[in-house]
Amino acid sequence: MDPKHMQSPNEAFAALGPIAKRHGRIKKGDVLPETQVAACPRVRMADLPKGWIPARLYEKNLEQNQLIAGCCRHPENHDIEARKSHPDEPAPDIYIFHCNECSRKHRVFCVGTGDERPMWDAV
Amino acid sequence: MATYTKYEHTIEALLNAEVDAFGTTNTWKVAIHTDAPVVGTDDELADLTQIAGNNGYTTGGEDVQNDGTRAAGTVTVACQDVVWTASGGNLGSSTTGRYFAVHDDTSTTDILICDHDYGATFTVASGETMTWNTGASLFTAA
Repeated sequence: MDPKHMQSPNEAFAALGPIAKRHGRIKKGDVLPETQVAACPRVRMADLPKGWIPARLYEKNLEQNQLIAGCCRHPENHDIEARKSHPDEPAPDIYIFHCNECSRKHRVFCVGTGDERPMWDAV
Repeated sequence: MATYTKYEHTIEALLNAEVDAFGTTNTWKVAIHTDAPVVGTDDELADLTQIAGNNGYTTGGEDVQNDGTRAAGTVTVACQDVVWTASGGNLGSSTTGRYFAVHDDTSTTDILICDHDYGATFTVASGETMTWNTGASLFTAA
């Protein structure tokens, strides 16, 4: 057997994917620990450079969404924070817009590839 | 990006022509569920516990407008954003939604494709939104 293809049982199991790697063997009904962590602090959208937050993160769900309150359709007046679904994530994959008028939250969960993920420090 | 979790049965379903990832022939949907996916035994949407079908959530999830295209030897599956807006109460009357499962809604048994973990339970209160965003692509296969 080619040594470079030999894996320990734990390595082989972890290769099944992130659930296995991060949480080990689970059975149906197991409740996994929460792994979400903060990535970028909550800041005012107006304090970030224009275009820093890509429009794709708020166009369809906020500006063009007629099902939400009028105040929520103006992300330029919102605060935004970024989070990671797991500490191992290389970049934020969760963005939360906070409407400063009504305090509602609008979450964006980025699950794909090939997209830009804005990050920032305290402004 | 949120880490892609592959259901073990998916590759068999793809190679057995039970699901179709190329073009737009088959409709894929994304559903919200509360239970952690067990990739070795969960094969179909019915194996998962979705949030309730009310207050802006439809049981079975929403169409992701999937489109598989090929360049050279790589197929890229792109999808459109899905936006859930809660109305009349919490989305799905839920405070324990956490996972997002993509399934082939055209397949006979809603075969599962992949899953993503939000990392925490969430509550989408009335007037709030949850957006599932795939960026340039959901996955590539070569």
